[in-house]
Amino acid sequence: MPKRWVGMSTTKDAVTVVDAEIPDDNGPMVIISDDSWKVQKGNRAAAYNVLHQQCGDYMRENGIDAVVVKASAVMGRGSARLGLLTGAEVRGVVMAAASPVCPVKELSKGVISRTYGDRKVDEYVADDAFWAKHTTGGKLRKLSRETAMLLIAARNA
Amino acid sequence: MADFVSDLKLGAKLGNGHFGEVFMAKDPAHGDVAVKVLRREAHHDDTAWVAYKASYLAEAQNLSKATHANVVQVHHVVEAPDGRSVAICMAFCPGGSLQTPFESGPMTLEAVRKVGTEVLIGLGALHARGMLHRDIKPANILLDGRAVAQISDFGLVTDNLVLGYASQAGYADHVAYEVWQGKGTSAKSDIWAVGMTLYRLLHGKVWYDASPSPRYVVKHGVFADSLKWLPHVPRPWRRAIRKMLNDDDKSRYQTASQALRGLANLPTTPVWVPTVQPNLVRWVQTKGARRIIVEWTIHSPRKHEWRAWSEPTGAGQKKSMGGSNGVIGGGQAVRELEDFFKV
Repeated sequence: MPKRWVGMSTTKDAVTVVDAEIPDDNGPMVIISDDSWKVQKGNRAAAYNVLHQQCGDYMRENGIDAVVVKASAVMGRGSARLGLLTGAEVRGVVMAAASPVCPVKELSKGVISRTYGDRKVDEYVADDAFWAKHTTGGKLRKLSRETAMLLIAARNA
Repeated sequence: MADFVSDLKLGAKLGNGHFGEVFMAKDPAHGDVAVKVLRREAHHDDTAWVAYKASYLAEAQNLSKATHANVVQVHHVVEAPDGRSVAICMAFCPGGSLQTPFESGPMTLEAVRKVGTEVLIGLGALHARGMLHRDIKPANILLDGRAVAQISDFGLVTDNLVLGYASQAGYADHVAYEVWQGKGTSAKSDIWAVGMTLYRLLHGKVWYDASPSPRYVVKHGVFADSLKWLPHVPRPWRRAIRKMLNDDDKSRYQTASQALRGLANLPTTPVWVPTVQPNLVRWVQTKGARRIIVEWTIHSPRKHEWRAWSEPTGAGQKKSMGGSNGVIGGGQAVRELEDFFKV
């Protein structure tokens, strides 16, 4: 039976959400939706509360079977900038919201590059033919490919 | 099988709705509850009543299984033995409905965005279950004990009823353009009604009543462009509400989730607290130890005047911050005030 998976990647002010049906065979995954949830402007605690509810509701109401979240990563040896830390807060919120509903897995870009295929993630993201082969159904924004890549990698793990 | 008798004890009447009366009650399992008694109305012939009752009972049963933070919880539903009424036992919301704040005056941007967000989250969850509300308005948004907005009266109105009901129940101001044109309701007409609700809450009853009632003008089109805004309402708010109220349902936010995204970027500061009287609009903002006050006096439709000043919350001197320097026209007053508020 096909599974319904959601991939999420976060920034300090938005969550990219790719919802897809993963077939049992090796066929392309079916994109159901490619959406962004904005973190509300203003009071951060209230905004996280809204996001938590929005995320939990989405997983519950749509019968999501599993979530894959892009893991935190620090570029090089530099110290984390504030935007990155705030993005990590947002990641924590959606992980906490989804976890009572379904399993939540973290995958970092580095791990995908090491374990999936023989190219780096950015090369797959830029390859239109790769996406034509691995996805079908609804429209997937180019900027959401990295989030969708989480699902492709998790599927092959 | 034996019949069981409910120990539900009806108390004082809380109000009259279009579909029946609402009572405070004590339920052995849930404590304080509200009980709505739906009764057969004159417009229900035998077939319509049976069909209506069956569909409502089914929908209420669905709701009773569904728990959501932004939907009033239905505990159970029972039909009277004579078949002429249905009693719905639901959570009691001590904060009452948003009809009262609407009648008191405009709410702050922050309060309206909070309500809009909570309503859209509840609406989105129920749309995902294939349900429509068809009756979103301030009176159907209740506040629970923690002042969280919850949508009530889901599924009371069917497509067959919506126009007849709307004209009788005061909902006509919330009927979308395409519904007037006979297209039927949809998730997008619910979003239209949310837009209307947000507009009403931002402006309050006095301001809202000063414009032609939407029930008479929406059906003729371009309603969203004819709205009159309080001058402190920022342009992003106007754009978001106009988008919800677009005549073309394809140009609206298509889902509650999209509308939520629209609300997310709306500014909620500075916090102006407006009050509206027929001839005077007043805004107050408290900033540290000072208060900024703006007053817009409407002497007649063509004679307006405004002034702004700051004053200490304690002892100290007033400072002028601007004004019209005498009587000016209405259009000019609005433009100057919008400049002052930097919308």
